[in-house]
Amino acid sequence: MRFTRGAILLCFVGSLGGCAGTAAFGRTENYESAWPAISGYTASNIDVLVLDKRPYVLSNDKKQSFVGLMRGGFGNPFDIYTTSGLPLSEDIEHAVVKGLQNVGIKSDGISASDGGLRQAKSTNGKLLLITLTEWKDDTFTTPHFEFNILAEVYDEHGMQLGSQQLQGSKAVSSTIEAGRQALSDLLASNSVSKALLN
Amino acid sequence: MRSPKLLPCLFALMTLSGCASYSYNNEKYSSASDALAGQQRYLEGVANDVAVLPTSISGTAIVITPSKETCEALGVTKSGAPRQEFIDYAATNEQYEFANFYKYLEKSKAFSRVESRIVDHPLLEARNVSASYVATIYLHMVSPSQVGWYMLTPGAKEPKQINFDATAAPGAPKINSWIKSIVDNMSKGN
Repeated sequence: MRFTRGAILLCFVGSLGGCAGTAAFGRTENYESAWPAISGYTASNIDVLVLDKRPYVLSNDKKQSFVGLMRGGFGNPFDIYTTSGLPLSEDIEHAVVKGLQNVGIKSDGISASDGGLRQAKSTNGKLLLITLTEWKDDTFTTPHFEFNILAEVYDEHGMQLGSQQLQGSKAVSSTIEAGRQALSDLLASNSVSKALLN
Repeated sequence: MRSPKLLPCLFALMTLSGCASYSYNNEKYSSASDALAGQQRYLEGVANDVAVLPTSISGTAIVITPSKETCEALGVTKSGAPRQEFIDYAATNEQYEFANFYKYLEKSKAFSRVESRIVDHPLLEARNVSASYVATIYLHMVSPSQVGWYMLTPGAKEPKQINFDATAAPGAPKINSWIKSIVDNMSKGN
């Protein structure tokens, strides 16, 4: 009888662990697919550089591919990483480049090794520099998304043409859609949009 | 004493099953590949029922549709925290759905020849190739809620929208209305 009770308890905990583990452990997020919606067009080539300055990444507490937390049945946190396995900054760079290309704008990503770059690489081109000070989701019963991002636009001579900072912290229905919306809002802001698309 | 003995088995089965299920057209399937096979059967049925037009427009048309990556990024609504395998299924399903429009147009014989292309950025591709075709038909996606069919003809400054008849029944009647919109746009010129 003790064995039966033990078996039942073990299977029950196993089931919970299976559910929680299946739901929370080993999760990834594909921010590569968070292509921002772009309104407008420019014939200029836009170079995109994304820098990750999240404090817990700079201090090496978390990997560059860390995107947030998924919580198990008791609120215990499991780290979520990028689906690509690449740094989050590269996933977001990919998404922004694809978003620009989707409306016919020529755009390329720039390696993070060029992190000090503050001017467009090509004649008549523009550099879109995005700095992530925060970008993290936290999902227990409802996903929560927190971000603090800065966009700066430079011309080929290194002159800053515009900039905008955006931050938020809110419950969302989808972290990927929230990420897409944050990037869309950032690039649609008056200062950045005018600098990029004029 | 029966139920305590059954309980461990029940929990074990729940753990193993993982609640994975895929659906298409209100039918449930146990795997993504089965669901996609069900989709293919449905789409072939729609293509078979597309009306063949009595006359063809001379020349080659091209239908440009988005890749799976584009469908995942711009066509799949991701609420909650869906697993990547479900997103993959939805994106593949959507890519097949759109790519099949080439078959519908070919079946209708609206043009003497039809080609197809699947690319990441249909708008960009359409602009690049439109001078080579009598009609360049493409699907432009902006977000899951902003998706539309457009067409370019040589010399046209602006794309024309391709519409569906909102009152047409799903399946072949809806597709026939899409083909009619293309033919109407061709007859209007630039």
